[in-house]
Amino acid sequence: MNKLRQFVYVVDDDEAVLDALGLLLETVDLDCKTFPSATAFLEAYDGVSGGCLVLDIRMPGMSGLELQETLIEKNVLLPIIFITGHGDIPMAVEAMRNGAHDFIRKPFREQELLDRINEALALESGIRHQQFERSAILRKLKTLTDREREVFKRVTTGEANKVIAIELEISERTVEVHRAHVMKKMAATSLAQLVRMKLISEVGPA
Amino acid sequence: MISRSASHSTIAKLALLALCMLFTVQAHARGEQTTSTSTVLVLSSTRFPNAWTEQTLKGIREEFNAAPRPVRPVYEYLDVQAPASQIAQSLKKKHPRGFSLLIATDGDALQFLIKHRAQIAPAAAIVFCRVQKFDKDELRGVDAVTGVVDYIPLRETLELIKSVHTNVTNIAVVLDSSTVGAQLRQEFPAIKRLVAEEGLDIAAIVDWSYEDLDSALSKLPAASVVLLATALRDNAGVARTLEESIGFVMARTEVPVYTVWDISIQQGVLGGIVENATARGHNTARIAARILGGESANNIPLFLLNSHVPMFDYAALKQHDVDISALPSDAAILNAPAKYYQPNMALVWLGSLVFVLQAGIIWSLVYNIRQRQRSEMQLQQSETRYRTLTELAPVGIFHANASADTLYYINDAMRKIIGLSSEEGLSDHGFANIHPDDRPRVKLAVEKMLQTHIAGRSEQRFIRKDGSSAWIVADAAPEHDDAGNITGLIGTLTDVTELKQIQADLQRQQAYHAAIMDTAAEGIVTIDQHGKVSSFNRAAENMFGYEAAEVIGNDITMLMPAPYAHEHDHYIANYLRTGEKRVIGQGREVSALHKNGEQFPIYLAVSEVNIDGEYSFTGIMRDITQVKAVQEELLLKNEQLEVLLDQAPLGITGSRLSGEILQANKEFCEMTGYSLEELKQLSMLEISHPSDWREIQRLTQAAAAGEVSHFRRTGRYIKKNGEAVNVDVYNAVTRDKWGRPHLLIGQVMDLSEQLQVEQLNRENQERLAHVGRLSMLGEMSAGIAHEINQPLTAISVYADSGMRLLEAGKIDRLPAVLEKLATQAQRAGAVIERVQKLARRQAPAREAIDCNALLAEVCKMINSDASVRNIELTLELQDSLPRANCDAIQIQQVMLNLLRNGMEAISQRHGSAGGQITVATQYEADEVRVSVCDNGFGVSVELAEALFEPFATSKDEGMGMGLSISRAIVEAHGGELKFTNNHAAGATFRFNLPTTEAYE
Repeated sequence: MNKLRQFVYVVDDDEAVLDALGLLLETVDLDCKTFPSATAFLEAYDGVSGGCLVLDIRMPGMSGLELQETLIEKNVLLPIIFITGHGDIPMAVEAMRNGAHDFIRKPFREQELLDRINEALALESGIRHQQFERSAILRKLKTLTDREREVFKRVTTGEANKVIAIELEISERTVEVHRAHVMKKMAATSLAQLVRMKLISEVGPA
Repeated sequence: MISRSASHSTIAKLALLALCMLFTVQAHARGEQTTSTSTVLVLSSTRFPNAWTEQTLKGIREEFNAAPRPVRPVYEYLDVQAPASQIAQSLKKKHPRGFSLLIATDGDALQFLIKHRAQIAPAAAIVFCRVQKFDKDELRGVDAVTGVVDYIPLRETLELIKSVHTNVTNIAVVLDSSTVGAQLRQEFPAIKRLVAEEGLDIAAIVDWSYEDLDSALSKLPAASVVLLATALRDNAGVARTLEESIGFVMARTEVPVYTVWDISIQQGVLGGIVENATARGHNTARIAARILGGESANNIPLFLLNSHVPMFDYAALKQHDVDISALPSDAAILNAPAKYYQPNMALVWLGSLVFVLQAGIIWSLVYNIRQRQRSEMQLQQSETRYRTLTELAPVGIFHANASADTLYYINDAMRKIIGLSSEEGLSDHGFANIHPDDRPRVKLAVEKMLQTHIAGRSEQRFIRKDGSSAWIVADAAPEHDDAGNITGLIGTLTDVTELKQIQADLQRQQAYHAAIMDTAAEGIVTIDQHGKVSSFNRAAENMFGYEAAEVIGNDITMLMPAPYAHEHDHYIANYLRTGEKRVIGQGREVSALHKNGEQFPIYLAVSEVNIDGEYSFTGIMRDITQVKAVQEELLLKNEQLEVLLDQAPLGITGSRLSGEILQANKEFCEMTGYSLEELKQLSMLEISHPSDWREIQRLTQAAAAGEVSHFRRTGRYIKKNGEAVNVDVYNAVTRDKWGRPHLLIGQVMDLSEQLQVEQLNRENQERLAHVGRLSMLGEMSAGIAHEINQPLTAISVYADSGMRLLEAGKIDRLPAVLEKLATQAQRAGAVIERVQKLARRQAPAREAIDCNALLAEVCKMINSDASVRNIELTLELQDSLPRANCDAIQIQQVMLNLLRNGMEAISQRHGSAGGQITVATQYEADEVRVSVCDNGFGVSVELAEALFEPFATSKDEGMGMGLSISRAIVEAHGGELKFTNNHAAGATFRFNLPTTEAYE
């Protein structure tokens, strides 16, 4: 598993709060980058770096919610933790609906914020891993011949060799040969592994 | 001496022989009858006594009956009073086939025939007989005339008298003034000379009137004999019949009276040598027979007749005691007693027996002769009838020549028509007197008739002798001769002047009626009882789109739409049968059918006319399409008005000035709890509260006097259930057509609801004020919370971070963290201080406040919000602004409210793009003016009116209380809160506050 570096991006218009949060994250050894506005973040962010985003909802210019929408559009998968001094419930609801990781009211307990940040980082890293695994499986699948891919599909849906042989109008022995090739090419040791690979290959990352 | 009866044996033998001959002749005649029958005209003048003429005709008839050739005698009489030409014409007409022979039984007839033979029968010979003295010169140059000439045996009779009455001394001969009498008078002197002898005085009584004759006869001496020759006409022209003249003489003398006429015997006359008319007839007919047999009349000399016989009347002989033996031997004694012929009885009986035996034969032989005679008689009668009819006919009858310019004959009626008296001749009054204008037409008609031989009719004006004109209708038929040539015209004439006048009147009247009908605005259509249209006026043409000619004669149903058209015949039939009226006499609305197929409503009135049992119906109709439309519109309007009245939220009443209620709408009924019927039984006073009575009376009196045209009052009605209801009544006075106050129309508003609403409003306002205060608090606390949360968050995070730095041993960084922490704590404190400042001023104090400072403070409060919204706040504050006398907290609320509204308006419009708010103060006219101007979306027109009302809001989350409370606050301070939409964008709210200086 490829260990990528994760950053905590903090966006808040209140200078003091931003400064304080930066200090806090530093103290717990998390890589942190702070931005005084949403636009400043968008300008700086490369679009692929992993980590999470701590975001104030109410900000002059682009608000937190607007930034969230922009990121979704850009297919950026950073988990977002909203913080707000206003406690606007409708805004919170909308933020969560749009897939925010959490929503925290100011003032907050620092440990709570840090817990949320860690959760978010773990989640983000998991997603990344899954994405990595899937692309590996897809790569392997591309090495299969058409006949092997056909046998792979049928085997993973539970069809017996005999059935596959009849439907494909080949001998059962040939099916067994194809199956062995599939297992080898896909680097699977059991049928269960093969089935999992198939599921990952079909279902995109969450 | 042979007595008359003695000669019977001979007569009987002769008769027998004659009858036998007759039989054969008749049989022979019958055989020939079909081949050739000669028609013979026997003409007699009516001037001579009938009996005399009849004797002659009898002889002719007897001879013709016995004639070897079939002869058809036609007996005609010459009316001496009628014009000869006319008679000739009528004879010609009556016997168009003419005659083979003409017989005249007397001199008049002879003269006529000679004169008119050419016309009647040009080729026929004339045979005549006459007793008058005959001048041979009369016939000189006249062709084919012959006949029997007789004379009156006057001398012979005188001789007879002398021989019978030997002792007579006086013979008086009566001669009258007739033609025959005049002739005898001429002959008399010569006769007298021949007869006269000694001792016998023969004198003629001449030139008398009947009076003269009377006295002359009565003066006669006893030994006299009267020879009554003629006494038919006296010198004055007075005429007697034969019988009368004999009777006249016999009554005036006792002496024997003799005569020269056999017809006079048996009238009391004693006797005489008498001429025998029958024998004359026989002789005449014999000559005629010879001519018919082929002999030329010119070759037959005149036959001088001498058939005179002595004849006596037995009774008269006895009366005058005349010795019969002294009579001449050949004398015939009429009426002699039977003993004189007793010795000859056997012969008589034998003759009679033979006669009887032959009777049947005779009868059969004679029968067809009789028939013929009868038809001749009938013809004669019809001739007479025709003449009588002609004279009596009410129409004019004329007989004219073929060219219609000469009239032969006209009757009295025609004389009357053409204005001709009965004396005037016809010569100057022909058809030339036809009105010049009509003459060509008549001429044409006549010419046509002459060409076609068909009877014709013409109508023309006739100019009477007196110059007046008459309209006459002439019906004429051509008259033909044997050859079929038209010889004249015969026809009738009718005076139609009056008829013409009536016709003209009628036409005028019809034209008048037609004019009325055609100018009538109503359609007028007449039909007969079969439903056929007989008239159709112009208005009807316009109404139905048909020409009159298209409709007249057709069934009326063509003007009716389907259901009526089928029923109509049935309607008429039903009415004619039962007399049950549906439309007649009463107008009604019906549907009519236009030529183009459209139906339209008409108002129809029908009247009937019954002329001689023939019904006709006249329909007068009016197109009421428009009326109908107007009616319907009116109806609709009325309905609308009614609905309007009934749906009106106001009570509406109509009442008399006396207070009597005539009309009330639903609302009023509901208001008072009475039904309309109940209200109509009540007066306005009865449903009004007694405390209002005086005022109501005063106002209605003023209205009745015309002093006011409307009035308004508030009062109370007493409902049916006894409750009082507060009302506001507006009354208007209507006027009748004479302009007098007439009715009161009342509009009544139920105030109870309004009063309730006002009460509610008051309560609402109080509630609103409360809510407003609460919401203001909420907004402020939200603002405060945000302001404080930020520093608190920062403090908390700094503190936590400081702890971790300490734990990690990074003490060197702590001072900076703590310093930041302190700064944030101070920041939070400042916020709280501001809030405290606001709270402190909540005491309802009016103090002199610097509005600039107040505004600056408010702006600080919303500054963070404004920056979040990206809104730029600009303050344009006037320096050294006078202090205003106000409650700082309340005014701050107003300012805060206006600023928040502005910010939200900007956000709603521009979103995060933000905008601008300019807050300005100004001192003017002793007051401080504050304005908040934003570039948001302004105030919409819909909202503008209700903007200051509670709950009016343009905001998704707002309650709409802010502005209403703000206004209340500003007004409580004696100022005004207004707004205007900016020219470019957004709105500007302004309020003013009196300054302390002005206030104090």
